[in-house]
Amino acid sequence: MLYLHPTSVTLGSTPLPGVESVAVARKAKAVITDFTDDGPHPTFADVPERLTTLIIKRQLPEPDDAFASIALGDELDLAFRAARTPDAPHALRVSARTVITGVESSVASERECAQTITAVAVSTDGDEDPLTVEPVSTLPAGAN
Amino acid sequence: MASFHTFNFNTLGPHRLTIGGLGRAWEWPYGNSGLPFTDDLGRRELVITQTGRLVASTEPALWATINVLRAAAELPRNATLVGPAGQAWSDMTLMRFTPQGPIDRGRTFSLAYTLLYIRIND
Repeated sequence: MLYLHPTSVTLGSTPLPGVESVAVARKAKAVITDFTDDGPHPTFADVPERLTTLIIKRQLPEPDDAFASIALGDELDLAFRAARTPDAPHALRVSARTVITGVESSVASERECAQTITAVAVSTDGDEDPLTVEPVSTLPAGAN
Repeated sequence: MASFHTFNFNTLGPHRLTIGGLGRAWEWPYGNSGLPFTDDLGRRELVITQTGRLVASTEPALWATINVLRAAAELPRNATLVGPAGQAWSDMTLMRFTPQGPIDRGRTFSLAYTLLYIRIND
């Protein structure tokens, strides 16, 4: 899943301006494959360990306080509003409890700097999906 | 697909059978017996190891299977083990049920395991 030009982005208690995109990557951390005596192909496969990674890309005229305040290993709530398509209104609220695993800065152009924040989304109990995506219209008043 | 007593392992998950060393059992010269020559102890017992994965759609269902296999291994249960191509090994005793690692919770609930069968006093 890729969310382009999200709005109202916050990481922890800090607003995070200049976010160009938030990409969600889901990968298997462990894969089970089991075989039988009947042939060479697996008859069973499952993914008992799954990793949801968020990649937040920002572009700013100059480094802000968020550049300095985000540290590896920080456990922070990420929240933002996004659209299903580039032309649609920002009708989704996406949130996740995250642990920061990477903060990279680079030069985007002569006038802008870029920052990429990578984080692992953590589940509340191991069973719940660590990423929550809600339609904004279903949220209680004031929660947007 | 293997079966043993009332267990149709095909319904419990994927599994494979491995036949242990066949032939004679012996003691090398100057071993525990102290004899200066190889001591032929007799024909080796037939040992078959079943490795596999128990698969269930719910965790209670998986635990029910675990408990049935545990009970069979503790009896111990003696029966004919039938292999995937219909080979039958009679008078096999289920000696041990060993879970291999934690329960995996993905799309299904599953547990890797090993069963050890021995034809005792063969």
